Amino acid sequence: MDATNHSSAKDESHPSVNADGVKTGSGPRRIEGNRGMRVDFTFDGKSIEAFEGETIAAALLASGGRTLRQTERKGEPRGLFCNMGICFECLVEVNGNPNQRACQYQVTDGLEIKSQPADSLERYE
Amino acid sequence: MIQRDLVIVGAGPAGMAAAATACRAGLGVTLIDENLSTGGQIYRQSPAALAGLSVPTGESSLHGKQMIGELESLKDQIEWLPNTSVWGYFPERRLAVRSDRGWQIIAAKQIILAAGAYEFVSPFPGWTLPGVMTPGGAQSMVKTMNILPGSRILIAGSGPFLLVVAAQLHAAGAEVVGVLETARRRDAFRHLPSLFSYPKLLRQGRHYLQQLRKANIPLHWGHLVTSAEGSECIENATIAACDGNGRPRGQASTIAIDTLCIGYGFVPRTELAQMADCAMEYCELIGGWIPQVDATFETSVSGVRVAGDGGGVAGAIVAEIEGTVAGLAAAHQLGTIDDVTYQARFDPLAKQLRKLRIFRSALDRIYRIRPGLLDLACPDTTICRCEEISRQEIEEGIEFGGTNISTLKVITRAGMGPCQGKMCWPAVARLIADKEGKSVAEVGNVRVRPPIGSLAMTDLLTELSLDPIQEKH
Repeated sequence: MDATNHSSAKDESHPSVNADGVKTGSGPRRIEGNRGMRVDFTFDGKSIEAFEGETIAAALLASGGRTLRQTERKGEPRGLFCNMGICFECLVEVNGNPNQRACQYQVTDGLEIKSQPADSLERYE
Repeated sequence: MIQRDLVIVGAGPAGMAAAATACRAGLGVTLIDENLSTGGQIYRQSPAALAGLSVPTGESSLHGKQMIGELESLKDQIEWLPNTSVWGYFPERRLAVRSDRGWQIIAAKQIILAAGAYEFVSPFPGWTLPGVMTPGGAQSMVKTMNILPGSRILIAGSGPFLLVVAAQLHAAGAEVVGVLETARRRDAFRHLPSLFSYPKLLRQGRHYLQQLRKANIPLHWGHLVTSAEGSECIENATIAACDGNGRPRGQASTIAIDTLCIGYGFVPRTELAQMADCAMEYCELIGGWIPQVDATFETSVSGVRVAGDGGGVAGAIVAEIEGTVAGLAAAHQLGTIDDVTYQARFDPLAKQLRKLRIFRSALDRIYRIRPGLLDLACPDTTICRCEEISRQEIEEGIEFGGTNISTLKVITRAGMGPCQGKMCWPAVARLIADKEGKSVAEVGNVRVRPPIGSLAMTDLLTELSLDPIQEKH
Protein backbone atom coordinates (compact mmCIF):
# COMPACT_ATOMS: atom_id res chain seq x y z
CA MET A 1 0.00 0.00 0.00
CA ASP A 2 1.43 3.35 -0.94
CA ALA A 3 1.87 6.09 1.61
CA THR A 4 -0.26 8.74 -0.11
CA ASN A 5 -3.39 6.64 0.11
CA HIS A 6 -2.62 5.87 3.70
CA SER A 7 -2.54 9.52 4.68
CA SER A 8 -5.56 10.53 2.64
CA ALA A 9 -7.72 8.23 4.73
CA LYS A 10 -6.49 9.49 8.05
CA ASP A 11 -5.37 13.08 7.76
CA GLU A 12 -8.70 14.77 8.41
CA SER A 13 -7.85 15.33 12.03
CA HIS A 14 -9.69 18.65 12.39
CA PRO A 15 -13.23 18.17 13.66
CA SER A 16 -15.89 19.74 11.45
CA VAL A 17 -19.66 19.83 11.26
CA ASN A 18 -21.79 18.06 8.66
CA ALA A 19 -24.90 19.41 6.92
CA ASP A 20 -27.13 18.30 9.81
CA GLY A 21 -24.97 20.09 12.37
CA VAL A 22 -23.49 16.88 13.74
CA LYS A 23 -19.80 16.91 14.61
CA THR A 24 -17.58 14.85 12.38
CA GLY A 25 -13.94 14.01 12.88
CA SER A 26 -11.30 11.42 12.25
CA GLY A 27 -11.21 7.73 13.09
CA PRO A 28 -13.37 5.78 15.50
CA ARG A 29 -14.58 7.91 18.39
CA ARG A 30 -17.18 8.38 21.10
CA ILE A 31 -20.27 10.33 20.13
CA GLU A 32 -20.70 13.35 22.39
CA GLY A 33 -22.91 13.09 25.46
CA ASN A 34 -22.76 12.36 29.16
CA ARG A 35 -21.38 8.97 29.93
CA GLY A 36 -21.34 6.81 33.00
CA MET A 37 -18.52 6.40 35.45
CA ARG A 38 -14.99 6.54 34.12
CA VAL A 39 -13.09 3.25 34.34
CA ASP A 40 -9.50 2.53 33.36
CA PHE A 41 -7.98 -0.65 32.07
CA THR A 42 -4.77 -1.61 30.33
CA PHE A 43 -4.25 -3.06 26.87
CA ASP A 44 -0.80 -4.57 26.41
CA GLY A 45 0.34 -2.47 29.35
CA LYS A 46 -0.97 0.81 27.95
CA SER A 47 -3.59 2.61 30.05
CA ILE A 48 -6.93 3.06 28.26
CA GLU A 49 -9.78 5.33 29.29
CA ALA A 50 -13.24 3.83 29.18
CA PHE A 51 -16.71 4.30 30.61
CA GLU A 52 -18.96 2.00 32.54
CA GLY A 53 -21.20 -0.06 30.26
CA GLU A 54 -18.77 -0.15 27.35
CA THR A 55 -17.50 -3.43 26.01
CA ILE A 56 -13.76 -4.02 25.72
CA ALA A 57 -14.16 -3.87 21.94
CA ALA A 58 -16.00 -0.54 22.12
CA ALA A 59 -13.50 1.07 24.48
CA LEU A 60 -10.50 -0.11 22.45
CA LEU A 61 -12.14 1.08 19.24
CA ALA A 62 -12.82 4.52 20.77
CA SER A 63 -9.17 4.71 21.80
CA GLY A 64 -8.25 4.26 18.14
CA GLY A 65 -6.96 0.71 18.42
CA ARG A 66 -8.41 -1.45 15.69
CA THR A 67 -6.04 -4.41 15.68
CA LEU A 68 -6.97 -6.72 18.54
CA ARG A 69 -4.76 -9.70 17.78
CA GLN A 70 -2.39 -11.35 15.33
CA THR A 71 -3.48 -14.64 13.80
CA GLU A 72 -1.67 -17.79 14.86
CA ARG A 73 -0.83 -19.21 11.48
CA LYS A 74 -0.05 -16.23 9.26
CA GLY A 75 0.43 -13.45 11.80
CA GLU A 76 -2.22 -11.26 10.17
CA PRO A 77 -3.87 -8.39 12.06
CA ARG A 78 -7.51 -8.93 13.01
CA GLY A 79 -10.06 -6.65 14.61
CA LEU A 80 -13.72 -6.37 15.45
CA PHE A 81 -15.86 -8.00 12.74
CA CYS A 82 -19.43 -9.03 13.71
CA ASN A 83 -19.70 -7.26 17.10
CA MET A 84 -22.35 -9.74 18.23
CA GLY A 85 -20.36 -12.65 19.58
CA ILE A 86 -20.63 -14.88 16.53
CA CYS A 87 -17.32 -14.60 14.65
CA PHE A 88 -14.73 -14.86 17.47
CA GLU A 89 -12.38 -12.45 15.65
CA CYS A 90 -12.07 -10.08 18.60
CA LEU A 91 -10.47 -12.60 20.98
CA VAL A 92 -8.26 -11.08 23.68
CA GLU A 93 -6.69 -12.22 26.92
CA VAL A 94 -8.49 -10.80 29.97
CA ASN A 95 -6.74 -11.01 33.35
CA GLY A 96 -4.81 -14.03 32.14
CA ASN A 97 -7.78 -15.83 30.54
CA PRO A 98 -7.23 -16.17 26.79
CA ASN A 99 -9.87 -16.28 24.05
CA GLN A 100 -12.37 -13.85 25.56
CA ARG A 101 -14.63 -12.07 23.07
CA ALA A 102 -13.93 -8.35 23.42
CA CYS A 103 -17.35 -7.49 21.94
CA GLN A 104 -19.20 -9.40 24.66
CA TYR A 105 -17.10 -8.45 27.68
CA GLN A 106 -17.90 -5.28 29.63
CA VAL A 107 -14.95 -3.25 30.90
CA THR A 108 -14.38 -2.81 34.60
CA ASP A 109 -11.77 -0.80 36.41
CA GLY A 110 -8.34 -2.36 36.44
CA LEU A 111 -8.84 -5.07 33.81
CA GLU A 112 -5.57 -6.24 32.33
CA ILE A 113 -6.12 -7.00 28.68
CA LYS A 114 -3.53 -8.40 26.32
CA SER A 115 -3.66 -8.90 22.60
CA GLN A 116 -3.14 -12.47 21.49
CA PRO A 117 0.10 -12.63 19.53
CA ALA A 118 1.11 -14.95 16.73
CA ASP A 119 3.35 -16.73 19.22
CA SER A 120 2.29 -20.19 18.15
CA LEU A 121 3.51 -19.61 14.61
CA GLU A 122 6.26 -22.20 15.06
CA ARG A 123 3.66 -24.92 15.43
CA TYR A 124 2.86 -24.66 11.77
CA GLU A 125 6.35 -24.42 10.35
CA MET B 1 -35.33 -31.33 37.68
CA ILE B 2 -38.21 -28.94 37.21
CA GLN B 3 -40.03 -29.20 33.92
CA ARG B 4 -41.07 -25.79 32.58
CA ASP B 5 -44.18 -25.34 30.48
CA LEU B 6 -42.34 -23.36 27.83
CA VAL B 7 -38.69 -22.46 27.34
CA ILE B 8 -37.91 -19.82 24.73
CA VAL B 9 -34.39 -19.41 23.39
CA GLY B 10 -33.69 -15.88 22.19
CA ALA B 11 -35.23 -12.60 23.35
CA GLY B 12 -35.45 -10.75 20.04
CA PRO B 13 -38.79 -9.82 18.48
CA ALA B 14 -39.87 -13.46 17.98
CA GLY B 15 -38.86 -14.60 21.47
CA MET B 16 -40.31 -11.54 23.20
CA ALA B 17 -43.63 -11.87 21.38
CA ALA B 18 -43.78 -15.59 22.15
CA ALA B 19 -42.98 -15.00 25.83
CA ALA B 20 -45.58 -12.27 26.33
CA THR B 21 -48.26 -14.20 24.43
CA ALA B 22 -47.66 -17.52 26.17
CA CYS B 23 -47.39 -15.92 29.60
CA ARG B 24 -50.73 -14.15 29.14
CA ALA B 25 -52.20 -17.42 27.92
CA GLY B 26 -51.31 -18.97 31.25
CA LEU B 27 -48.03 -20.81 30.62
CA GLY B 28 -45.04 -20.78 32.92
CA VAL B 29 -42.42 -19.24 30.65
CA THR B 30 -38.63 -19.28 30.83
CA LEU B 31 -36.92 -16.84 28.46
CA ILE B 32 -33.21 -17.25 27.75
CA ASP B 33 -30.81 -14.93 25.95
CA GLU B 34 -27.04 -14.61 25.61
CA ASN B 35 -27.28 -10.87 26.05
CA LEU B 36 -27.75 -8.91 29.24
CA SER B 37 -31.06 -7.46 28.15
CA THR B 38 -34.03 -8.27 25.94
CA GLY B 39 -34.41 -6.89 22.42
CA GLY B 40 -32.21 -9.19 20.37
CA GLN B 41 -29.99 -7.61 17.76
CA ILE B 42 -32.59 -5.37 16.16
CA TYR B 43 -33.93 -3.84 19.37
CA ARG B 44 -30.67 -4.18 21.26
CA GLN B 45 -30.61 -2.01 24.36
CA SER B 46 -27.74 0.08 25.67
CA PRO B 47 -26.29 -1.04 28.97
CA ALA B 48 -27.84 0.89 31.89
CA ALA B 49 -24.72 3.03 32.36
CA LEU B 50 -24.95 4.27 28.76
CA ALA B 51 -28.72 4.45 28.50
CA GLY B 52 -28.72 8.26 28.74
CA LEU B 53 -27.07 8.55 25.34
CA SER B 54 -29.02 8.00 22.22
CA VAL B 55 -28.48 8.17 18.51
CA PRO B 56 -31.59 8.98 16.48
CA THR B 57 -33.10 5.67 15.46
CA GLY B 58 -36.67 5.75 14.25
CA GLU B 59 -40.05 4.16 14.17
CA SER B 60 -38.95 0.55 14.44
CA SER B 61 -36.86 1.15 17.54
CA LEU B 62 -39.84 2.87 19.20
CA HIS B 63 -41.82 -0.27 18.56
CA GLY B 64 -38.96 -2.30 20.04
CA LYS B 65 -39.07 -0.18 23.18
CA GLN B 66 -42.79 -0.86 23.45
CA MET B 67 -42.22 -4.60 23.20
CA ILE B 68 -39.47 -4.46 25.79
CA GLY B 69 -41.71 -2.44 28.11
CA GLU B 70 -44.55 -4.90 27.68
CA LEU B 71 -42.29 -7.78 28.63
CA GLU B 72 -40.99 -5.77 31.56
CA SER B 73 -44.55 -5.51 32.89
CA LEU B 74 -44.70 -9.32 32.99
CA LYS B 75 -41.35 -9.72 34.70
CA ASP B 76 -42.83 -11.20 37.88
CA GLN B 77 -44.42 -13.97 35.86
CA ILE B 78 -41.66 -14.81 33.38
CA GLU B 79 -38.43 -16.49 34.41
CA TRP B 80 -35.86 -14.36 32.59
CA LEU B 81 -32.35 -15.75 32.22
CA PRO B 82 -30.09 -13.08 30.68
CA ASN B 83 -26.42 -13.59 29.88
CA THR B 84 -27.20 -17.28 29.48
CA SER B 85 -26.31 -19.41 26.51
CA VAL B 86 -27.79 -22.70 25.46
CA TRP B 87 -24.98 -25.06 24.53
CA GLY B 88 -26.90 -28.22 23.82
CA TYR B 89 -30.23 -29.85 23.08
CA PHE B 90 -30.90 -33.31 24.43
CA PRO B 91 -34.03 -35.37 23.86
CA GLU B 92 -36.79 -35.04 25.07
CA ARG B 93 -36.83 -31.27 25.03
CA ARG B 94 -33.97 -30.74 27.46
CA LEU B 95 -31.67 -27.75 27.05
CA ALA B 96 -28.21 -27.43 28.55
CA VAL B 97 -27.67 -23.82 29.59
CA ARG B 98 -24.87 -21.95 31.21
CA SER B 99 -24.18 -18.50 32.56
CA ASP B 100 -21.66 -16.94 34.91
CA ARG B 101 -23.84 -18.33 37.72
CA GLY B 102 -23.31 -21.91 36.64
CA TRP B 103 -24.92 -24.42 34.37
CA GLN B 104 -27.90 -26.73 34.39
CA ILE B 105 -30.25 -28.79 32.27
CA ILE B 106 -33.70 -27.30 31.78
CA ALA B 107 -36.51 -29.60 30.69
CA ALA B 108 -39.55 -28.22 28.93
CA LYS B 109 -42.95 -29.38 27.80
CA GLN B 110 -42.69 -26.95 24.89
CA ILE B 111 -39.71 -25.18 23.34
CA ILE B 112 -39.62 -22.20 21.01
CA LEU B 113 -36.28 -21.57 19.32
CA ALA B 114 -36.00 -17.91 18.36
CA ALA B 115 -32.26 -17.70 17.84
CA GLY B 116 -32.26 -15.08 15.07
CA ALA B 117 -29.72 -14.73 12.32
CA TYR B 118 -26.25 -13.40 11.67
CA GLU B 119 -24.80 -11.55 8.71
CA PHE B 120 -23.34 -13.26 5.68
CA VAL B 121 -20.19 -11.78 4.22
CA SER B 122 -19.00 -13.37 1.00
CA PRO B 123 -15.19 -13.67 1.18
CA PHE B 124 -13.12 -11.26 -0.91
CA PRO B 125 -9.46 -10.18 -0.86
CA GLY B 126 -8.78 -8.07 2.24
CA TRP B 127 -11.97 -8.97 4.12
CA THR B 128 -9.99 -9.97 7.21
CA LEU B 129 -8.39 -6.52 7.63
CA PRO B 130 -9.29 -4.59 10.79
CA GLY B 131 -11.76 -1.87 9.82
CA VAL B 132 -13.78 -4.27 7.67
CA MET B 133 -16.88 -5.19 9.62
CA THR B 134 -20.51 -6.14 9.25
CA PRO B 135 -23.15 -3.40 8.90
CA GLY B 136 -24.97 -4.83 11.92
CA GLY B 137 -21.77 -4.72 13.95
CA ALA B 138 -21.27 -1.06 13.08
CA GLN B 139 -24.90 -0.29 13.81
CA SER B 140 -24.84 -1.81 17.26
CA MET B 141 -21.56 -0.04 18.04
CA VAL B 142 -23.35 3.23 17.33
CA LYS B 143 -26.75 2.36 18.81
CA THR B 144 -25.72 0.66 22.02
CA MET B 145 -22.22 2.01 22.71
CA ASN B 146 -22.54 5.44 21.10
CA ILE B 147 -19.20 4.93 19.45
CA LEU B 148 -18.54 5.45 15.76
CA PRO B 149 -16.47 2.63 14.25
CA GLY B 150 -14.75 5.08 11.88
CA SER B 151 -15.07 8.45 10.26
CA ARG B 152 -14.99 7.70 6.53
CA ILE B 153 -17.24 4.75 5.94
CA LEU B 154 -18.25 2.83 2.83
CA ILE B 155 -21.28 0.57 3.09
CA ALA B 156 -21.57 -2.32 0.67
CA GLY B 157 -23.28 -5.62 0.08
CA SER B 158 -26.95 -6.21 -0.45
CA GLY B 159 -30.29 -5.57 1.18
CA PRO B 160 -32.42 -2.76 2.57
CA PHE B 161 -30.60 -3.03 5.90
CA LEU B 162 -27.62 -1.23 4.30
CA LEU B 163 -29.76 1.90 3.87
CA VAL B 164 -30.78 1.86 7.52
CA VAL B 165 -27.18 1.55 8.68
CA ALA B 166 -26.02 4.28 6.28
CA ALA B 167 -28.64 6.71 7.60
CA GLN B 168 -27.77 5.92 11.23
CA LEU B 169 -24.01 6.22 10.80
CA HIS B 170 -24.52 9.54 9.02
CA ALA B 171 -26.83 10.81 11.77
CA ALA B 172 -24.18 9.88 14.31
CA GLY B 173 -21.60 12.03 12.55
CA ALA B 174 -19.72 9.68 10.26
CA GLU B 175 -18.94 10.59 6.69
CA VAL B 176 -20.71 7.86 4.73
CA VAL B 177 -19.02 7.99 1.34
CA GLY B 178 -21.61 5.80 -0.34
CA VAL B 179 -23.73 2.68 -0.39
CA LEU B 180 -22.91 -0.01 -2.94
CA GLU B 181 -25.83 -2.33 -3.62
CA THR B 182 -25.05 -5.46 -5.64
CA ALA B 183 -28.63 -5.67 -6.93
CA ARG B 184 -29.30 -3.54 -9.98
CA ARG B 185 -31.94 -0.85 -10.04
CA ARG B 186 -33.83 -2.82 -12.67
CA ASP B 187 -34.04 -5.81 -10.28
CA ALA B 188 -35.81 -3.55 -7.81
CA PHE B 189 -38.16 -2.15 -10.45
CA ARG B 190 -39.10 -5.60 -11.68
CA HIS B 191 -40.40 -6.52 -8.21
CA LEU B 192 -41.83 -3.12 -7.33
CA PRO B 193 -45.48 -4.17 -7.88
CA SER B 194 -45.17 -6.90 -5.23
CA LEU B 195 -43.69 -4.39 -2.82
CA PHE B 196 -46.96 -2.44 -2.93
CA SER B 197 -48.55 -5.40 -1.14
CA TYR B 198 -47.30 -3.97 2.14
CA PRO B 199 -47.31 -0.17 1.77
CA LYS B 200 -46.12 0.45 5.32
CA LEU B 201 -42.81 -1.30 4.71
CA LEU B 202 -42.46 0.25 1.27
CA ARG B 203 -42.85 3.67 2.88
CA GLN B 204 -40.14 2.79 5.37
CA GLY B 205 -37.79 1.94 2.51
CA ARG B 206 -38.63 5.19 0.76
CA HIS B 207 -38.00 7.09 3.98
CA TYR B 208 -34.46 5.73 4.20
CA LEU B 209 -33.82 6.45 0.52
CA GLN B 210 -34.91 10.04 1.12
CA GLN B 211 -32.64 10.34 4.14
CA LEU B 212 -29.71 9.20 2.04
CA ARG B 213 -30.56 11.72 -0.66
CA LYS B 214 -30.87 14.51 1.90
CA ALA B 215 -27.47 13.60 3.31
CA ASN B 216 -25.94 13.47 -0.18
CA ILE B 217 -24.95 9.84 0.28
CA PRO B 218 -24.83 8.24 -3.16
CA LEU B 219 -26.53 4.87 -3.56
CA HIS B 220 -24.93 2.89 -6.39
CA TRP B 221 -27.10 0.02 -7.57
CA GLY B 222 -25.26 -2.77 -9.39
CA HIS B 223 -21.93 -2.08 -7.69
CA LEU B 224 -19.76 -4.01 -5.32
CA VAL B 225 -16.48 -4.01 -3.42
CA THR B 226 -14.02 -6.31 -5.15
CA SER B 227 -11.19 -5.99 -2.61
CA ALA B 228 -9.98 -4.13 0.47
CA GLU B 229 -6.41 -2.97 0.83
CA GLY B 230 -4.29 -1.76 3.73
CA SER B 231 -1.37 -2.83 5.86
CA GLU B 232 -2.57 -2.80 9.50
CA CYS B 233 -6.13 -1.62 8.76
CA ILE B 234 -8.27 -1.02 5.72
CA GLU B 235 -7.10 2.08 3.84
CA ASN B 236 -8.76 1.61 0.45
CA ALA B 237 -11.59 -0.32 -1.12
CA THR B 238 -11.61 -1.23 -4.79
CA ILE B 239 -15.07 -0.95 -6.27
CA ALA B 240 -16.65 -1.86 -9.58
CA ALA B 241 -19.98 -2.10 -11.35
CA CYS B 242 -21.34 -5.63 -11.65
CA ASP B 243 -23.67 -7.63 -13.84
CA GLY B 244 -26.81 -9.47 -12.76
CA ASN B 245 -24.74 -12.40 -11.50
CA GLY B 246 -22.60 -10.19 -9.29
CA ARG B 247 -19.58 -10.37 -11.60
CA PRO B 248 -17.55 -7.15 -11.82
CA ARG B 249 -17.48 -5.44 -15.19
CA GLY B 250 -15.85 -2.29 -16.55
CA GLN B 251 -13.23 -0.15 -14.93
CA ALA B 252 -12.56 -0.62 -11.22
CA SER B 253 -11.78 2.39 -9.05
CA THR B 254 -10.29 2.90 -5.61
CA ILE B 255 -11.70 4.87 -2.72
CA ALA B 256 -9.89 5.85 0.48
CA ILE B 257 -11.85 4.94 3.62
CA ASP B 258 -11.14 3.93 7.19
CA THR B 259 -14.11 1.58 7.61
CA LEU B 260 -15.94 -0.79 5.29
CA CYS B 261 -19.28 -2.16 6.44
CA ILE B 262 -20.15 -5.12 4.25
CA GLY B 263 -22.91 -7.71 4.41
CA TYR B 264 -24.93 -9.72 1.89
CA GLY B 265 -27.92 -10.55 4.02
CA PHE B 266 -28.44 -12.96 6.88
CA VAL B 267 -27.99 -16.61 7.78
CA PRO B 268 -30.47 -18.24 10.21
CA ARG B 269 -29.01 -19.68 13.41
CA THR B 270 -30.24 -23.24 13.41
CA GLU B 271 -27.74 -25.14 15.58
CA LEU B 272 -30.28 -26.07 18.25
CA ALA B 273 -32.90 -27.14 15.72
CA GLN B 274 -30.27 -29.30 14.02
CA MET B 275 -29.17 -30.75 17.34
CA ALA B 276 -32.80 -31.54 18.11
CA ASP B 277 -32.85 -33.47 14.84
CA CYS B 278 -35.53 -31.29 13.26
CA ALA B 279 -36.01 -32.06 9.56
CA MET B 280 -34.27 -29.30 7.58
CA GLU B 281 -34.67 -27.93 4.08
CA TYR B 282 -32.52 -25.66 1.95
CA CYS B 283 -34.11 -22.32 1.02
CA GLU B 284 -31.46 -20.16 -0.61
CA LEU B 285 -33.61 -17.02 -0.70
CA ILE B 286 -34.24 -16.91 3.04
CA GLY B 287 -30.74 -17.67 4.16
CA GLY B 288 -29.97 -21.35 3.54
CA TRP B 289 -30.81 -24.36 5.71
CA ILE B 290 -33.95 -23.95 7.80
CA PRO B 291 -36.15 -26.30 9.82
CA GLN B 292 -39.35 -27.48 8.14
CA VAL B 293 -42.35 -26.18 10.05
CA ASP B 294 -46.16 -26.40 9.98
CA ALA B 295 -48.56 -23.45 10.17
CA THR B 296 -47.93 -23.13 13.92
CA PHE B 297 -44.14 -23.20 13.39
CA GLU B 298 -43.80 -26.63 14.95
CA THR B 299 -40.85 -28.57 13.57
CA SER B 300 -40.75 -32.30 12.87
CA VAL B 301 -39.89 -32.73 16.56
CA SER B 302 -43.04 -32.63 18.66
CA GLY B 303 -43.28 -29.59 20.94
CA VAL B 304 -40.29 -27.82 19.36
CA ARG B 305 -41.14 -24.69 17.40
CA VAL B 306 -38.93 -22.26 15.53
CA ALA B 307 -39.94 -18.61 15.13
CA GLY B 308 -38.35 -15.53 13.62
CA ASP B 309 -35.24 -15.21 11.48
CA GLY B 310 -33.83 -18.43 12.94
CA GLY B 311 -36.45 -20.27 10.89
CA GLY B 312 -35.77 -18.33 7.68
CA VAL B 313 -34.83 -14.68 7.41
CA ALA B 314 -37.85 -12.38 7.09
CA GLY B 315 -37.21 -9.45 9.42
CA ALA B 316 -38.57 -8.16 12.72
CA ILE B 317 -42.24 -7.67 11.81
CA VAL B 318 -42.62 -11.23 10.55
CA ALA B 319 -40.60 -12.51 13.52
CA GLU B 320 -42.95 -10.86 15.98
CA ILE B 321 -46.04 -12.39 14.37
CA GLU B 322 -44.40 -15.82 14.13
CA GLY B 323 -43.43 -15.59 17.78
CA THR B 324 -47.00 -14.69 18.71
CA VAL B 325 -48.37 -17.64 16.73
CA ALA B 326 -45.81 -20.02 18.23
CA GLY B 327 -46.59 -18.81 21.76
CA LEU B 328 -50.33 -19.24 21.19
CA ALA B 329 -49.85 -22.68 19.67
CA ALA B 330 -47.72 -23.81 22.62
CA ALA B 331 -50.44 -22.67 25.03
CA HIS B 332 -53.10 -24.35 22.90
CA GLN B 333 -51.13 -27.57 22.82
CA LEU B 334 -50.81 -27.56 26.61
CA GLY B 335 -54.50 -26.82 26.96
CA THR B 336 -54.39 -23.39 28.63
CA ILE B 337 -56.44 -21.81 25.86
CA ASP B 338 -59.43 -23.43 24.18
CA ASP B 339 -59.88 -24.18 20.49
CA VAL B 340 -62.21 -21.25 19.83
CA THR B 341 -59.99 -18.63 21.44
CA TYR B 342 -56.97 -20.07 19.71
CA GLN B 343 -58.56 -20.11 16.27
CA ALA B 344 -59.91 -16.60 16.68
CA ARG B 345 -56.44 -15.28 17.39
CA PHE B 346 -54.58 -17.51 14.95
CA ASP B 347 -56.56 -16.70 11.79
CA PRO B 348 -55.84 -12.95 11.51
CA LEU B 349 -52.16 -13.53 12.30
CA ALA B 350 -51.89 -16.19 9.61
CA LYS B 351 -53.55 -13.81 7.16
CA GLN B 352 -51.09 -11.04 8.02
CA LEU B 353 -48.18 -13.44 7.49
CA ARG B 354 -49.48 -14.41 4.05
CA LYS B 355 -49.62 -10.75 3.08
CA LEU B 356 -46.13 -10.10 4.36
CA ARG B 357 -44.82 -13.14 2.52
CA ILE B 358 -45.58 -11.50 -0.84
CA PHE B 359 -43.57 -8.44 0.17
CA ARG B 360 -40.74 -10.42 1.71
CA SER B 361 -40.35 -12.79 -1.19
CA ALA B 362 -40.04 -9.82 -3.58
CA LEU B 363 -37.27 -8.41 -1.37
CA ASP B 364 -35.59 -11.82 -1.25
CA ARG B 365 -35.55 -11.92 -5.04
CA ILE B 366 -34.23 -8.38 -5.44
CA TYR B 367 -31.45 -8.90 -2.94
CA ARG B 368 -30.62 -12.55 -3.61
CA ILE B 369 -27.02 -13.69 -3.25
CA ARG B 370 -25.41 -13.61 -6.70
CA PRO B 371 -23.30 -16.58 -7.78
CA GLY B 372 -20.46 -14.37 -9.06
CA LEU B 373 -19.67 -12.99 -5.60
CA LEU B 374 -17.69 -16.08 -4.72
CA ASP B 375 -15.37 -15.47 -7.67
CA LEU B 376 -14.09 -12.35 -5.92
CA ALA B 377 -12.12 -14.67 -3.61
CA CYS B 378 -8.65 -15.30 -5.10
CA PRO B 379 -6.69 -18.52 -4.52
CA ASP B 380 -4.90 -16.95 -1.53
CA THR B 381 -8.00 -15.27 -0.07
CA THR B 382 -8.89 -16.56 3.40
CA ILE B 383 -12.22 -18.41 3.44
CA CYS B 384 -12.17 -19.85 6.97
CA ARG B 385 -11.20 -16.87 9.11
CA CYS B 386 -10.63 -18.85 12.32
CA GLU B 387 -8.27 -21.49 10.93
CA GLU B 388 -6.91 -19.24 8.14
CA ILE B 389 -7.72 -21.61 5.31
CA SER B 390 -7.46 -20.13 1.81
CA ARG B 391 -9.66 -20.76 -1.18
CA GLN B 392 -6.85 -22.74 -2.80
CA GLU B 393 -6.49 -24.98 0.26
CA ILE B 394 -10.23 -25.58 0.26
CA GLU B 395 -10.30 -26.41 -3.45
CA GLU B 396 -7.38 -28.80 -2.98
CA GLY B 397 -9.31 -30.37 -0.13
CA ILE B 398 -12.33 -30.85 -2.37
CA GLU B 399 -10.14 -32.50 -5.02
CA PHE B 400 -8.72 -34.73 -2.31
CA GLY B 401 -12.21 -36.05 -1.61
CA GLY B 402 -13.76 -33.42 0.63
CA THR B 403 -16.97 -33.30 -1.34
CA ASN B 404 -19.18 -32.75 1.67
CA ILE B 405 -18.70 -30.24 4.46
CA SER B 406 -17.82 -32.73 7.20
CA THR B 407 -15.13 -34.49 5.16
CA LEU B 408 -13.72 -31.20 3.91
CA LYS B 409 -13.56 -30.00 7.50
CA VAL B 410 -11.46 -33.00 8.48
CA ILE B 411 -9.14 -32.58 5.49
CA THR B 412 -8.63 -28.81 5.66
CA ARG B 413 -9.68 -27.72 9.19
CA ALA B 414 -12.09 -25.21 7.58
CA GLY B 415 -14.91 -24.72 10.09
CA MET B 416 -13.03 -26.18 13.05
CA GLY B 417 -12.30 -22.86 14.74
CA PRO B 418 -14.15 -21.12 17.56
CA CYS B 419 -16.94 -19.72 15.33
CA GLN B 420 -17.81 -23.36 14.59
CA GLY B 421 -18.08 -22.68 10.88
CA LYS B 422 -20.67 -19.91 11.03
CA MET B 423 -18.49 -17.50 9.08
CA CYS B 424 -17.22 -19.86 6.38
CA TRP B 425 -19.75 -22.64 5.75
CA PRO B 426 -22.05 -20.69 3.44
CA ALA B 427 -19.05 -19.97 1.21
CA VAL B 428 -17.48 -23.42 1.64
CA ALA B 429 -20.73 -25.15 0.65
CA ARG B 430 -20.92 -23.00 -2.48
CA LEU B 431 -17.29 -23.77 -3.35
CA ILE B 432 -18.01 -27.51 -3.11
CA ALA B 433 -21.20 -27.09 -5.15
CA ASP B 434 -19.36 -25.17 -7.89
CA LYS B 435 -16.52 -27.63 -8.10
CA GLU B 436 -18.70 -30.74 -8.02
CA GLY B 437 -21.39 -29.36 -10.31
CA LYS B 438 -24.05 -29.85 -7.63
CA SER B 439 -26.54 -27.56 -5.96
CA VAL B 440 -25.77 -26.29 -2.46
CA ALA B 441 -28.74 -28.34 -1.21
CA GLU B 442 -27.14 -31.48 -2.66
CA VAL B 443 -23.84 -30.71 -0.94
CA GLY B 444 -25.72 -31.06 2.33
CA ASN B 445 -25.68 -29.40 5.69
CA VAL B 446 -23.08 -29.47 8.38
CA ARG B 447 -23.45 -31.72 11.42
CA VAL B 448 -23.86 -29.85 14.70
CA ARG B 449 -22.75 -31.30 18.00
CA PRO B 450 -22.73 -29.90 21.53
CA PRO B 451 -21.37 -27.67 22.82
CA ILE B 452 -22.49 -24.65 20.85
CA GLY B 453 -19.79 -22.09 21.55
CA SER B 454 -16.78 -22.90 23.67
CA LEU B 455 -17.16 -24.67 26.97
CA ALA B 456 -14.33 -25.43 29.36
CA MET B 457 -14.29 -28.88 30.95
CA THR B 458 -13.72 -27.17 34.28
CA ASP B 459 -17.03 -25.32 33.81
CA LEU B 460 -18.78 -28.68 33.70
CA LEU B 461 -16.79 -30.25 36.52
CA THR B 462 -16.81 -27.49 39.06
CA GLU B 463 -19.72 -25.18 38.55
CA LEU B 464 -22.43 -27.81 38.75
CA SER B 465 -21.69 -28.63 42.35
CA LEU B 466 -20.59 -25.17 43.43
CA ASP B 467 -23.05 -22.71 42.07
CA PRO B 468 -25.94 -23.89 39.93
CA ILE B 469 -28.45 -21.39 38.62
CA GLN B 470 -31.12 -20.91 41.26
CA GLU B 471 -34.30 -22.74 40.49
CA LYS B 472 -37.36 -20.52 40.58
CA HIS B 473 -40.20 -22.06 42.56
